[in-house]
Amino acid sequence: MIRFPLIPVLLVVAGFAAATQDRYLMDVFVLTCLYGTMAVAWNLAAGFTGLLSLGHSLFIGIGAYTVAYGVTAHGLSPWVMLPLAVLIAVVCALAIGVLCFRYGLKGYYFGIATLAFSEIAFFLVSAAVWLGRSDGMMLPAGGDPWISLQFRAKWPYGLMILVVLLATLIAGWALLRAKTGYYWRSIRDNEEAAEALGVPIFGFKLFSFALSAGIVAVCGAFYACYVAFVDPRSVLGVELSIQLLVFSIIGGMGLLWGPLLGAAILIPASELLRIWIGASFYGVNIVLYASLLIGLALFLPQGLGALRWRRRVS
Amino acid sequence: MVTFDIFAQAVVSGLANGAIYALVAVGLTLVFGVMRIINFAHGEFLMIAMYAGYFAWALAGIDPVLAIFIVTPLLMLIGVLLYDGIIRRALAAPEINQMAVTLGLSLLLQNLALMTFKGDNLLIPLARATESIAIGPALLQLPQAIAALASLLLIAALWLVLRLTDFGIMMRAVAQSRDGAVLCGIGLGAVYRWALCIGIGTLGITGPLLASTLYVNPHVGALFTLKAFVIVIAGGLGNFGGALLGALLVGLAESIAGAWFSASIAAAVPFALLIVAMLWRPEGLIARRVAR
Amino acid sequence: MLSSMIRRGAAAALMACALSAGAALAQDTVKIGVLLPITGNNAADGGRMLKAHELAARQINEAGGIKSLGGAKVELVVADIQSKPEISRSEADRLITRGNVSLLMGAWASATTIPAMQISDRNGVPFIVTSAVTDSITEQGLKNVFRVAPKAKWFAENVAGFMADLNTGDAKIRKVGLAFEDGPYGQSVSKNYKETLLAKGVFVVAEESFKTGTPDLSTQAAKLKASGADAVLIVSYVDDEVVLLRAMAAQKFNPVIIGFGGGHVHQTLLQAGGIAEKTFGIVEWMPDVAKPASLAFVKAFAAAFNNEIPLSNQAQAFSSTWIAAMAIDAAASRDPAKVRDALARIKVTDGPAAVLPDDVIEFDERGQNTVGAVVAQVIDGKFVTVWPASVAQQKPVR
Repeated sequence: MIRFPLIPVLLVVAGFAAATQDRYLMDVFVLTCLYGTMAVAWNLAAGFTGLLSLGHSLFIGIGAYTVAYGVTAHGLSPWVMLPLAVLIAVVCALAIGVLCFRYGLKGYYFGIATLAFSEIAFFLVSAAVWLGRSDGMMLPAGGDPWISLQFRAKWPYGLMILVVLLATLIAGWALLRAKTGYYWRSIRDNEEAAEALGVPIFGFKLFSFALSAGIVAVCGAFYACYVAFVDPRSVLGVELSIQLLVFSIIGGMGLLWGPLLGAAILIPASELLRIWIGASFYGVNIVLYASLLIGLALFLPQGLGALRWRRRVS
Repeated sequence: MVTFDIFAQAVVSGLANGAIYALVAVGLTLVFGVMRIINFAHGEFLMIAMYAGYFAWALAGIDPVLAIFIVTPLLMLIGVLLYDGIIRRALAAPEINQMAVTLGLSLLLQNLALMTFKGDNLLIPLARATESIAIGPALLQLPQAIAALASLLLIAALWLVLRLTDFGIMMRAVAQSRDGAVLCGIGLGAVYRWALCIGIGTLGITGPLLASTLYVNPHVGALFTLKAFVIVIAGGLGNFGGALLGALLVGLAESIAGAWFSASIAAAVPFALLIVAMLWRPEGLIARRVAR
Repeated sequence: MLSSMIRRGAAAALMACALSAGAALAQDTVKIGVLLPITGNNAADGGRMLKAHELAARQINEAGGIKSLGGAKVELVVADIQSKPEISRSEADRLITRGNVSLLMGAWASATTIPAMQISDRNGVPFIVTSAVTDSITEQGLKNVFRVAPKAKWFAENVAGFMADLNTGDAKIRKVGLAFEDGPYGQSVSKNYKETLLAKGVFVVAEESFKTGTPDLSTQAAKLKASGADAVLIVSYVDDEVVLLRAMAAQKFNPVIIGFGGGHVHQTLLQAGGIAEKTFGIVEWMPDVAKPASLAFVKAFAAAFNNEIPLSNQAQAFSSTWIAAMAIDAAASRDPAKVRDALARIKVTDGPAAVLPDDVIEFDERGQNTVGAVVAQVIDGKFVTVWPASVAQQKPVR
């Protein structure tokens, strides 16, 4: 049922190759892969296990802030902080998961609960002097770029995020075609029935949520290195969590690579709209973007990724 | 440093803020309760109502309290148009797509407002803005007092409508079980249209009153959307009493926490309360009201 | 039928001509990148600053363009950063790699400026910081970053100086309360206020913070009143400041009020009526600053934009654009590295760029312009510069 996402993988690799010659294209490539990876990871929990998290920015923020704090306060390499970031994110996800699943929070309720956790983190970080409060933290340049991960060129970033994306896709593919994937989908479709059939739902929900959190924490750590600046609004805000949902819906939540497709369409589209008309008319670019979003969500409920299938069936 | 007088002021001020939050949340709980749509654009309709209240005052000199009677029908009409234009179509899509639609709508309205009105803040300077009522050692500013009073009246009125009219019974039926209501011969379309009409219409009361205590800009409504969700979930979907209680608790908690700590920490408190409420009372704070 | 085809063909040919002419012109221009929030929460401020950049560019071109480059015209390449740090960074990158810019300017707040200026610095393109005030911007030792705006901590020193001058007879300000919006801007400025004022022997007796969009700020007002502060320093955007001023008036609390920057000296405050009267505001620039260049700027701005009166950030944007043109002229090159060196040596004492209150605009070895602020007071519903005496229109009223 789940085939290896060969075409998306090839396209992404081709995209990287095509972008190596141009800094700006590489920037768009990096952003697309970054948000695409986050959205694919989000969708593993939301689309395949039915865990509609609205608070994934919490884990992204943990990744970004762990790295930023290690680099700015202690001069540690992001390589050292990365495992720590993933560990903290996974532990937080497990704690939130245990709490929510124990009390039977599902659907929207689970979504709102995760949102509440991420908002608490947002406000606490905004008040934490040692994390730079609302001002955020600036990562200094310097040292060996392969240690500090502060490159002048763009392609190393492209390469890194490409590896993360491919690893996420391959891991997702392997899990979805294995027993885990079938358990996840059975939980998504009917939790009670799955439980009655002996699926250990508690453990598999936790696994899905924690895996998803761990992957987006890696993306958050990458964000900190790439942008070299973190602040609560850009890595802990609700907008970021919701962005993942939007990419997934537009691309198709039923597909492993659907969210990546969504990101690959919406990120360049918003770039182009901004470049063409962004600075000349107040808000026209966002009005068009929003109209596109409404139209796609209304008229392509299964997402763009499903288009191909529908044609093949008919 | 927090004396009794300050504490009393924090309580009064928290209740005033809470009552205003309730004014925003009550329409959302109706829409969310009946239709199960997470309407991320709720705050943007509030923003439209606030602009309407501002222009009623700026162009025609209409006091915000009187402007309610003009803005409310307008917002009710917008609610109906919203249903027939977008939401009816969205209901056919998966639930999560509905979120994307309302999210897009929120972005769209904010930026249409930005294009139309530019980004600057607009104020309704009323002489009574600096007048106040003494409640013990604390003071309550007059516009806030009016908004709080309106909030209580509105919630009482809505509660009566839902209890006493056929229409209210239909709404409650749909809120409790969509399929059951359809089996009983209730037309979902009409109920949904009315739910949005009234749910958005309540913002016609909120808008002008809030505009006179705060200010108007394209992004002002979005400041209230998340808080309204917290209140609606904590209070129980479609439960007006719960929404009022939730709103007052949120306002009080923020205000009292703010008396000791920084505003950022105070802002986290409602979310912590929400988590506790959801784990402790998943059906809402006044759960017994929802007959299951 | 045929004629319509011919007409269409002619139109196409004309368009092709126009396009190639445009391309030829574009080769002759000097490109300056401008990063501004045209949408998002700070859209109003971004849009206003854009007008000032455009006015300056128009004036430069009308005065003959960049003389050392054969009268090449200045072309602003404007990018919308949507008030978001990651977009600001990405747009800076795009302007550098695609826009072929000699220099960048922007990018409104500190959070949107920092990522953009880092990218610019790494690519060896000079970046003029127009309005962001966070101290650390020019304390990182970035070679390509130049700031026209003052550091946040200097405002605190100016406020202390102003309060000392205000202390005449027995009306002394000994205790101050701070009230700030609990976001990046309020937090960093109020922290500087506290440190500097304590060092100068002024007691900070209250620190009240609030979140944007809180409908009732009576608790904060009551606490400020109870603290016995003689003066309240407010650091907030103008919207929430009005809510706070109303709450303080309702509490019958009338201290000396000193607001901050463009968040105070803003037309919206005047809409609030009586409660704004006699309040002070510390700000980078005022339209009535008694300098010829400044007065000429105000006049030109009003003529160009429907009698609009510019605000402080617009003066910074205007000045920055002129400074950029002067640096390119001095470098006689479009090469960012040469423009950078010219910027480091620039010294503005008169001419259109000299709109800011201090006598000289020049950048120290860390790229910081030494510039002070002025104090404006609302007198009879208008902002009037009352301090420092050298550029003041009248004495402060108490």
